[in-house]
Amino acid sequence: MNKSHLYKGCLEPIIMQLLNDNGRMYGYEITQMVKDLTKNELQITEGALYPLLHRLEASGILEVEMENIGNRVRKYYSLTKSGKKQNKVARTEIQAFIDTLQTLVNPKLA
Amino acid sequence: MLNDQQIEILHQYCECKGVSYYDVQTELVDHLADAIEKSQKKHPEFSFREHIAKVDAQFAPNEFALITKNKSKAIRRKYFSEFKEELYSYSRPPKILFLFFLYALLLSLNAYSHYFYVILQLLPLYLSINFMVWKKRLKILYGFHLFDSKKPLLSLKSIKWVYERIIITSYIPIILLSLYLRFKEFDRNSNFFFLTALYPIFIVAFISAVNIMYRIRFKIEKDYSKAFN
Repeated sequence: MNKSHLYKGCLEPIIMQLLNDNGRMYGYEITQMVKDLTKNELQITEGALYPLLHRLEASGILEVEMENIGNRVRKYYSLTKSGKKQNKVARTEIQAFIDTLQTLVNPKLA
Repeated sequence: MLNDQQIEILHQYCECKGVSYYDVQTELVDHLADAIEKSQKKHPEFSFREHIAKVDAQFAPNEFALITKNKSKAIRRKYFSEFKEELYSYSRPPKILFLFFLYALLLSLNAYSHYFYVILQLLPLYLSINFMVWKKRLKILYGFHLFDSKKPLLSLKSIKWVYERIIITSYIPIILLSLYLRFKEFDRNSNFFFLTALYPIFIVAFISAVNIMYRIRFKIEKDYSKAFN
């Protein structure tokens, strides 16, 4: 069963948390890290990742740094000051979301 | 590490997928190159073309077009919010002093010269005729020549789009109001009040637009120097 759709609304906090933990990252690195951390459970497609990164950059949550890597240019993303604040809020929200799901799915554990 | 020729092939691949903008291409090329390099380690027996085909299979048919479309929307929004931020900075110290200075200047010019009010009314009309007659000269005056680059850039196209809209939106009300006041007789001081209230806002909007445009334009040149050389 493809479970990617279950993670759809959580991509933003996932990416923000990854950037918070790793400082700066580029697109491909993010997709691979998510894939590795979730043991292939979640695979972010390029069509979902890049529009999200661009949107977060436009909202001032992410900032961009360009770097020449050999014969190509790499775009690194990192959290801005307001992005770090936003990340804390997002983490609280996602924790509340997980707790709510837990209550619904497994009321005994809640 | 992929060689220059292979990177060029990836740029052409993006072009074939409908991504003609160099700045969008660079990010996708880096992504594709990483994916191909990983695939090369796993399957060294495959040719470069086979690796491209393998990576290509992971993309949905309209994925590249979707990325370009969303990036365009996102950067336009970003540039508009940078402009708004710059414009609002004129309502706070220290830049608010500049706004006060403009009001004081217009009021004193009006007090000392009888012709100033008429000039103020006719200035937008003169500038709009300029727009129509001396397009090339004004292209340089308003900085539109800065939007030329050797390779097409989505960020440059977007800042031009935003800049044009800001200039036009801050221009049209001034022209219409000036024309209205020109043909409708009011007492001189109340007419002048309308103009003085609007002119400094127009000037500040224009300065903010130019500031933002230059800042973004030179950042784009720094980030994508190959598109300008």
